[in-house]
Amino acid sequence: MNLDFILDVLSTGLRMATPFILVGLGGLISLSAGDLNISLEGFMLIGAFFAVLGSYLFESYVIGICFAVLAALIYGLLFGLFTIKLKADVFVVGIALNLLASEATVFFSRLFFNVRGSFSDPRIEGIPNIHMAFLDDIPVLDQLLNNHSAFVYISWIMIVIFWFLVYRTPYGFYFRAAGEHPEALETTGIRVNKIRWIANTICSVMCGLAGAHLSLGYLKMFVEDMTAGRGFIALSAVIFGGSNPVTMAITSLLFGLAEGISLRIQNMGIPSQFTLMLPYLTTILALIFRAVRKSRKTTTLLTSIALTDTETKGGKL
Amino acid sequence: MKNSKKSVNSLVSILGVFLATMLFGALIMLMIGKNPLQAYAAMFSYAVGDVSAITNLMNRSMALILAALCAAVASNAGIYNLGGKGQIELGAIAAAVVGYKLIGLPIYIHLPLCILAAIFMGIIGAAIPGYLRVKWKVDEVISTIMLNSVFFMFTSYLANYPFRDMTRWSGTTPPVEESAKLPFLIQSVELRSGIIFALVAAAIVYWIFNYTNQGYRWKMIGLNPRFAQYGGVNVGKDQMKAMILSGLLSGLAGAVLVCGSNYRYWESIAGPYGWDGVLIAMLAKNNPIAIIAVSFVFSIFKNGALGMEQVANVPSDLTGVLLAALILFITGREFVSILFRKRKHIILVDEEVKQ
Repeated sequence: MNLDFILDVLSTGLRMATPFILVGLGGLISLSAGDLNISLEGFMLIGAFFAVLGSYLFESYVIGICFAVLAALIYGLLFGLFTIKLKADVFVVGIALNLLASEATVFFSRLFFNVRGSFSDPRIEGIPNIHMAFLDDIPVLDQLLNNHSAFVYISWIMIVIFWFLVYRTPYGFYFRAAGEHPEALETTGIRVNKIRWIANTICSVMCGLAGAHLSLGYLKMFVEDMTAGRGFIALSAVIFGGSNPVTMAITSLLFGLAEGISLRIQNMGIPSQFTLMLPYLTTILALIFRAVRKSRKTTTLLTSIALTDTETKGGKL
Repeated sequence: MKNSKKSVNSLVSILGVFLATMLFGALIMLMIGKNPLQAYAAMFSYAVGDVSAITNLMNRSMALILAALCAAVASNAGIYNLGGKGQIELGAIAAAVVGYKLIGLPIYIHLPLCILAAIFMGIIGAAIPGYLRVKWKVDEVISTIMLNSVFFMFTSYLANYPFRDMTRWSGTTPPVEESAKLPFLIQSVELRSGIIFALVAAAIVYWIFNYTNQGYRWKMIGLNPRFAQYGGVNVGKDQMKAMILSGLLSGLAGAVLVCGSNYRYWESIAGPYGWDGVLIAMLAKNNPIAIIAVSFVFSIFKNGALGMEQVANVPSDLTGVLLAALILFITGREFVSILFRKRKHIILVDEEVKQ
């Protein structure tokens, strides 16, 4: 285990965490507004496909990103139409949209590119890596932080922006109120559904960006079902990290690191399944931990109520 | 009388949605310059055109029916089980390992052992989130989704390392013994008896739902858990029972997949069955008889896809798009009608107030 290897794993982890952070920030807003969107995976896949399509048609990654965001927005419109407008079951719509994304992207890729499986072409322009010259001479930091794809840095900036959005603007409050006490929000004269639409829009944009990063960031290609469960990992980061963008991002980094480690040890012939399991397992453990703590609190509350109850009744049960 | 009218109405509206979906598909095909009539004809002839097509249909439907029952039993009792995928994987690898490790047993011992092993693992897979829910109120939607991936990684490890078939590239177990295969229902067309398991399971679930105390309690919990609690139902215990039955069914689905059609486990053998099961249960409103019908519709779409591709040159993935559209149309239809009903109701109330 030399330093180079460790730095390599850490740097891979930073890279792997980026889609989780981008999607997670969107999912966090959506969840705090009360919608558990389990189709983050599908949103991201749609973004990834249309990023490649845009970049291929116009030979420009900027247009690719625009395509991705636009497509994800249309997808978000669909999600909002069914969940907010028609009040359909969020999980059913989520599962259906995941199915739709995975089938529609293959269908489109056969329609437009006439291939299935994966599509790459020299015309596709990728998102450039960012080289920071001032880091060149600093040994460890250079290897760790330099020459990542642009979205890696953008995602870090996004964390700060979202922190401000959640904790320093009224919207953060509205989102949480829409999720936790919609009636209370409604009485203040703010339409809950409007807030949910805004949250849904933010979430769609973030998923579109993450999709673009996935297909144009390093690979410059679209692969069938290339999200490979990343949407669900982001979802677990959201659930693990709660509504705080910073804790969510830290969780995402840890999950990214777990992915990075799995990638490296897989190459060395060690089973990677157990490291790949970690994000899901830690999320479940965190849920249990939180739930146990909460139930203890409620039990003590209940026993104290019961005790006062029995006291007032003169101890007769 | 009223009931039959209602069911006729819902049948008509489901047919309407089905037609709308087909029209939607036809529109897409016209847009990409293909012939929709030719494509649909090919789809049906590939899915139900001859005996072997119908055999394939049965083979695909059996696991779908079981997976849908698994979702239905849980959600009927007010507890979601979105973990069908992981539980089916667990059941399948258990059946496969017992199926190839034990050698020289007669079929009437070996086959039940395989099925029991699968059911056991399926129950474990469902009981964990069920227990967490009942004991500590851990949200079962999230825990079942997360456990899907955990179980998948676990079975993937088993199939790649301890139980791997070294003659194959990766991620498969060796083929099961002859004594672990479900007997043929009709030998000449290679129809295995898995479909019987699915149909019997559906009948039993139908019976439990409609003719037993347990079914009544589940229905009460599903409609209003608090009311059921006040009525003296032990909600936690009954939901736990529902999760166990749900896990049993998904384990059975895994066993049927291995012993009834694939004869070995491979990575993500459960494939789309887990999620499709949830969707089918939702479309069928947890009614076991409707689940059989909807599962066959799903299978017709999926099996007919190849026909559409080969005859009419329509990408086979269009059928997946159509299935997703069907689900969205149906959810949309239901809720649109509810909205209308609510409006009517409000107007009526208004009039009453005026009077």
